[in-house]
Amino acid sequence: MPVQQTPSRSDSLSSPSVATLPGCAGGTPPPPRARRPRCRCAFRIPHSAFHKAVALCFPLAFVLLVLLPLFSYFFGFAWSPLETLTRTFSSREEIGRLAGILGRTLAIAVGGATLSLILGILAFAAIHSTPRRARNGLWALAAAPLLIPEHFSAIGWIQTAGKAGWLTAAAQRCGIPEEWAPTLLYSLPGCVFVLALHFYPIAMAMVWLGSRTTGAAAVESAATLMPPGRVWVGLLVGWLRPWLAAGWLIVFILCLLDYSVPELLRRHVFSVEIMTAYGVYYDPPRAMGLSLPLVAIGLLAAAALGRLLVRFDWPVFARRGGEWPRLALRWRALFLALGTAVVLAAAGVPAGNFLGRADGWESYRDVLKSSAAQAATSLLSSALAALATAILAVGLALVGLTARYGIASDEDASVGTWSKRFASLYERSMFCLMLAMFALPASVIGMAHIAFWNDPAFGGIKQAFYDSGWMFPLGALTLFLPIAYVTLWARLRQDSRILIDLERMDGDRSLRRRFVLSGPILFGPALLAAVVVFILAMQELHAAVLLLAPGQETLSVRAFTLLHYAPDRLVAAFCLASLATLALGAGGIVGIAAVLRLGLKRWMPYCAFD
Amino acid sequence: MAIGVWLIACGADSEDQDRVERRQEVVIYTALDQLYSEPILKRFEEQTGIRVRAVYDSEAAKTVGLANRIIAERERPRCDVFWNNEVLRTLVLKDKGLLEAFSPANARQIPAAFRDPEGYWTGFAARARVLAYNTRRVAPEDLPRTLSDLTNERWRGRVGMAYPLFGSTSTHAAVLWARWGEPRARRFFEDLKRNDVAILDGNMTAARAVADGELDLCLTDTDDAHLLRSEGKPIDWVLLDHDGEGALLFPNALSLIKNGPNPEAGRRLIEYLLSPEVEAALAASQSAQIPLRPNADAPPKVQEMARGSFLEVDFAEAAAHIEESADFLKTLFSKP
Repeated sequence: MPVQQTPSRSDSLSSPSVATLPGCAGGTPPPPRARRPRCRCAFRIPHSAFHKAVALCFPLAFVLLVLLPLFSYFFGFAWSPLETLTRTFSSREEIGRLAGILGRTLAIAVGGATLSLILGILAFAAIHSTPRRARNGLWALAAAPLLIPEHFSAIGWIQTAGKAGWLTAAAQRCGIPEEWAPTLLYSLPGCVFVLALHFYPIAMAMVWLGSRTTGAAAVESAATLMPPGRVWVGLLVGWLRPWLAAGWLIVFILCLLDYSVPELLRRHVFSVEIMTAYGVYYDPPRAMGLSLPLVAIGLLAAAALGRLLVRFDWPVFARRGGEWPRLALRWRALFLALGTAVVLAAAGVPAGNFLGRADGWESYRDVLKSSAAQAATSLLSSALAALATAILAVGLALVGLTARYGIASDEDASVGTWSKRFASLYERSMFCLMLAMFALPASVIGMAHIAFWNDPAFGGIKQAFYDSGWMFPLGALTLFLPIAYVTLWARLRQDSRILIDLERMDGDRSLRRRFVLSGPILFGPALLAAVVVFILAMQELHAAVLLLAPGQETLSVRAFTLLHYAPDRLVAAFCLASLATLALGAGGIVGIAAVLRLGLKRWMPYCAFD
Repeated sequence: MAIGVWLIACGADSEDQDRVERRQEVVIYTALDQLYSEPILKRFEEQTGIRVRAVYDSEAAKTVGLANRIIAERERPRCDVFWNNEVLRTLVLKDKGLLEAFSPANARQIPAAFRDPEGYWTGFAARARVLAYNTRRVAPEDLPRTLSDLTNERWRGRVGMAYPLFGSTSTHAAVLWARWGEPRARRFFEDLKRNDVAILDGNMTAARAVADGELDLCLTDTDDAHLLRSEGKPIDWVLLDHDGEGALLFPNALSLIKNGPNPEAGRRLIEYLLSPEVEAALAASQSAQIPLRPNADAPPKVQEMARGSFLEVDFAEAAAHIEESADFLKTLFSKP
């Protein structure tokens, strides 16, 4: 009798066991194949070699477009480490100075992550204090600060609490010295404050995800035994601790690598030092040397984050988790007030300030006339980056799936064993690579691509690409692919049992089958990843400064330049117009995604979309 | 992969098609603020049909970044024209052999002191180094008379300037090295530091700090102070005298990059930028650039500026001191 083993859910990175069928040991022939159910959407591409060729395109593209430039860059350092280190750490005074800058960078990162976590928990508690029906809209509202680029937030706060800000003037009228607000803003706490206001939705999202894993029975039992406040503390500090830690680490890495906010608030941090070394002095070895401490710290944080992510019980979106008990009225009112204050400070203050300063239709008209090309560049590059990133992430995830399940042969057990090892190695390597890439500063990614593509080798093909104007979408793909991949990876960890069972029912290893089974599961996360990448690419400044071709300019870069030279009203109008462009673009992508999803649901009714 | 192959195929067009395409565009690296240079470049596009691909001075890269970019691209230049908003970095490029000599017809009206005798660069539309002050905190009669007065105790902690490694501040420092000699120049900057001079990211940042009342005085350029004054901010300025010898006047400098991809279009662009119309436009703009042509069209305020007393500067000699001054100032004012 064949031995059938059910794979365990506890470790989804391991491959399932392979079913053995009669006949493997020799003797009786295998039973005839079961008839494959016809799917309305089916088109038959049965050739497994073709399937493998298509599947291999994705890792190949990843290696050629993303990994090779990065490895070449770091290999350059490994080839001549002494020159790099001596150019960077040239004297004891210089080492001391850089140590001070690193300390300041770490302080901003730690402070930003901690404050983001606190604000994220506050926002979560505030939304939970509202009626259930209102919550969907409120989650979106609370996440709105992520739509505002962090340097726009910084500009908004400079115009609010800077020397000429309305808050400063109001404070002065109340008898508070006029230096109070600007001194606080242009300081380390000010930098932490602005970064936390931008990144708190990430911490809030991690708390929300974690809340969906809470067991309903456990929560209900606790609620009957303890007051609501204690249940909340127990859930947050106990059950959700790994999720809070993951949120902290993500924001820590983002704050560590941030460039625009410290630069605008005149805090000299490592990312500014790297940009100065490369963008101003064009000293690649020194820039490389300066990036090493940042990369090392980022990789450590990414490793810690990876250990947490692989152990999570990732929730399916259809599952709500246990309903947390409602807090006492006074606490709900307090959290609601605090949450409202957080959202107002994060989104209301910059947007309201811009609206107030823009000063009439003439400002918008001037801005719209002069920035149409930049808007088009931003939208096109970001859309391209989002599309390419989503496709590549889906392809890489599907290769892992194929390796895990699809090559599992029912004729030869050894193929299955090879498949298990390959699948495990592939998925672990890809996951680690993605986390490592997440921890790289955008300047390093920009420098790596410039060094790789601006090379006369191969008959000028690489330089043709370098001159083509596609460098920024490629840089955005490299920067944001980790986010897209991990989003898909998290989704794929949830449904392995369904896929295994479906594989067993349908023994053919066709591309169609892969698409029919895996496509719907990945569709939602792929679209989410595309929207997120689009928003991030629209806001990206650091890599854009390095990678944009002559004549190309994005809205982010233009804002950064205008801030220093243009009147406040033009800057404010420009920021508002940019935000509207970003919102329209994101809305367009979400709209297309919704239409696609509806269309696919009609086209493939047998497939399970979530 | 398919997109990449398509791109490569597009890039590997025939030589003729490439040449035709290149004739229709010009690449310019411009250090003059985008706010002022962009409209002028757009007008050139409209008049000639030649597409202008501009790389502007950004706060991330600064002017010196543009010059260093040209140096980094020396094996395969991507730039045709370098529009510098000062002179010394252009001279550095000349010394490195990265410029091509070109004497435009429109350059003949520019005084000889503001163009290269060998034709490697031509100056136009100048700015001056000024002392900007907050009109609510400092009276005109209380202002320092000369540059050296800024090191007096009464101005401790009240003066700001841009980081002296970039832009016109680095030009100013190199000119001081050339005129005063190294010992006196070093002493001046050391005294400034002892007097708690505030170092800011750029001339505009320094001027804004004065306009906002964070500082009382700053060293900046005419265009930055003029822009804020025209916005109604409480800031005014005086020409910065150098111990009775006058203020520093430095022009924008145009140069043609050697082996650039579009040399013909580059020459046309330089001719256009040196035209009296462009100089008049820059003078009339909020940057209030001082025309170098005699009897040029300019608003009364700019004409008044042009009548000021200015140093006679040997820019080539100053350029020879730029590295030396930068090394010293980098150590003295290193960002902690």
